[in-house]
Amino acid sequence: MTGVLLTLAGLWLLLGAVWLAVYPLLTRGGRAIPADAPDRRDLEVEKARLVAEIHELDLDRATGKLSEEDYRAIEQRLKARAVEVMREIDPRRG
Amino acid sequence: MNVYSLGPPALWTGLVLALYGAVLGHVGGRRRDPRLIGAAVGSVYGTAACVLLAYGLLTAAFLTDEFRLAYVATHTSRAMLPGYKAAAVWGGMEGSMLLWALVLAGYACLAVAIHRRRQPLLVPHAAAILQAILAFFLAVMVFSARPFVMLDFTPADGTGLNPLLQNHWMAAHPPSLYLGYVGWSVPFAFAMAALITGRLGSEWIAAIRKWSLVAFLFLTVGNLMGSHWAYIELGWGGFWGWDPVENSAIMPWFVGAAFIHSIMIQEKRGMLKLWNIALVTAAFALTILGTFVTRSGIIESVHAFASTDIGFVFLGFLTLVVGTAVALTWWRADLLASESRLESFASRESAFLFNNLLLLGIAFAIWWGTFFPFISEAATGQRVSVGAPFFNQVNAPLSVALLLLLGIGPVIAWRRASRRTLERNFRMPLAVLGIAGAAAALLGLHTWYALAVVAFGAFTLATIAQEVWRGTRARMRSKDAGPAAALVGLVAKNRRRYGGYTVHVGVVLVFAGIAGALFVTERSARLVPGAEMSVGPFDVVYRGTDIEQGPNYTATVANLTVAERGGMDRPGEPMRMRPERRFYPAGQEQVTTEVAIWSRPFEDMYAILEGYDATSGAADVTLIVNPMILWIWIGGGIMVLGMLIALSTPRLRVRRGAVAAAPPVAKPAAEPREPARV
Repeated sequence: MTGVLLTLAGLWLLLGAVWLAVYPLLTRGGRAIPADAPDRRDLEVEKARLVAEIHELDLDRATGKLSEEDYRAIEQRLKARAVEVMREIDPRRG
Repeated sequence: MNVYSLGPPALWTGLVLALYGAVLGHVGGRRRDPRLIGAAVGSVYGTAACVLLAYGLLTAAFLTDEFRLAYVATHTSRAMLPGYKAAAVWGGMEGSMLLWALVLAGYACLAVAIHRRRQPLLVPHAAAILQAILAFFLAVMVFSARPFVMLDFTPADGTGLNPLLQNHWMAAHPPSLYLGYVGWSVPFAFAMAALITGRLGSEWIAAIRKWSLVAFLFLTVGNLMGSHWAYIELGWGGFWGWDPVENSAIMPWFVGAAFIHSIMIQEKRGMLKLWNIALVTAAFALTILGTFVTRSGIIESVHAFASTDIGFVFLGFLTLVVGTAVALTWWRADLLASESRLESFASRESAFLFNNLLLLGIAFAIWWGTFFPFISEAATGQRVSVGAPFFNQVNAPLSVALLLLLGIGPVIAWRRASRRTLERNFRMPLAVLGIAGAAAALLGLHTWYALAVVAFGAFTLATIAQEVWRGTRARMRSKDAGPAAALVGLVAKNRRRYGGYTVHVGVVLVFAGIAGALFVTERSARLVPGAEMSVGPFDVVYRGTDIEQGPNYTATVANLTVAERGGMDRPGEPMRMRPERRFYPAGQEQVTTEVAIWSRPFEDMYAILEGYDATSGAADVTLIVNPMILWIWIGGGIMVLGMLIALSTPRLRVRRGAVAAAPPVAKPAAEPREPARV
């Protein structure tokens, strides 16, 4: 009896597995990925990368790995690019 | 109807769903069709459910001694402990393929669930690649290595698992190694998705950074467990024999280490895009190659218990994987150009590039030595093997150069470092290097490798200590905190950086342990009860043997009393050591040695019972003194801790205005903190 019940439970699990894969085709589907998504995504990734790099730069200066001139030159370059990227992400911010 | 007859339908359904997901993922991703993408994602979960059901059924069959299943009957027996029965599921080809599929299905579910919203353009293709890989493993189990084959009769008992595998380290080693091996599937899948979509910037790197660390972590743990198993179970006194299967497990580790360092260059500088694609492909391909070596038996190995003729199917799959990756890379070559150039030779990028070359050099040397018998046979018709001396000679200089680089990298800034900062940062560590080297030479270390390990290891520890101290001091100033609070805050807010340094500390200790192997002392003798012998700083007395009954074996146990020279009569001093020889009657009628180890901080006393004469009571005993070996396991543990620290980096969102609000030029040193991630 237990064996039959376990077998039926296993069969239901397999049916559930198939249902998981088929069900989305029977629905109207979720929100489509917007056409400008790739560009925006790239900019967001770059923004995060630049912020990360600025923080790393601060830590490098704090631990004596960068001279003051190098620090200022690199930081200015990074911040200028970061502001540019943020303006591209949200034109209203410009 | 037998519940185990659900096994084959579960595998078949999983195979169909995996192929379905592989097709729909690519089509849906290309058309950006949410219904097709949803179905592909659903198929990932559905396939995982099928694999989980199959794995659950097989485990239940092992635990309940269901010997009608041929695989169960040949890999377990009634007398085995329940824990080993559960571990015996992956003791053979069929079960280990199922474990591989289970781990891959689990990773695929997690990857899809975590990244579906964060990387919506990459996930459909990554899911498709993961499903295609899973389809391969399911096809192997459906058509060839079938775990659910039923016998026409029910045997009274099984033949049992190879006794060498009945060890708790061996029970944990394969799952950990598989978590590491299979873990490279996710970075590989995202890399291929990046090639397919042409999105080859930082997005895929951001997606796979932690996945690579997870795979690397488990590979580290798996290799450590495997070497510990070899040390305590194989009874030859060493921890690494340069066996082809061991080599196959360590090659992806070296390539993975190179990848983890080089993706940082792509993240920060947009460089090495092609190189990173090549490295992640190599890491994944090496995991398949490792399976080919383990399963094909083309090269003689102590892991011969796992050899079958299925290896060549893996070779075909490996060719397909590498061919696809090369074709996609060729197609996208124009998008793989670097966004910037190396600004200075004295920069962290350049240190990382050297580190990459050394890591790959070591991986290549291991590959060459491992496959040389195969290559020489193909080229000349004669099978020529290279042994441990080849691997040691080639890898020793490369590895000490790597050890030196571990110390150089952390104190050089990204982009460029001025001469003045270099002088200031290297002054103290170079002094430590000189003092440690001189002290080691004066203390009698005259082997170049040991001298280099001491000097370069001290140098590396000094640079890390300097880094930590400077960071702590900066935080003490900026936060007006005490040293302990500042140190904790520094590490907590910069986990990736300080986790990495912790790993490097662990590596230095592992090097110290490996260098200890140069000073091993070994003696063998036939001893009658009451006889004494000496080895290294130890005196040993043999007191006779006992016969003991285990759950599924009979053991002959030698009683040895061990003490430091002259300490045999000191109260509390002598240590009792009991090496064994075990006889397993079930199935294979195999005899194994169980060594006894007295582990101390600076040396292990390792005793092996090689043989026993019942009439005279004499025992053939081998005693080995292994200096520093404990530090391999301690260093490995510290490496794992460092990886966990790096992995615990929280995913921070970029605050609006985080950059815009900042002034255009430098203010006084900002509090060092964790970089934001996407």
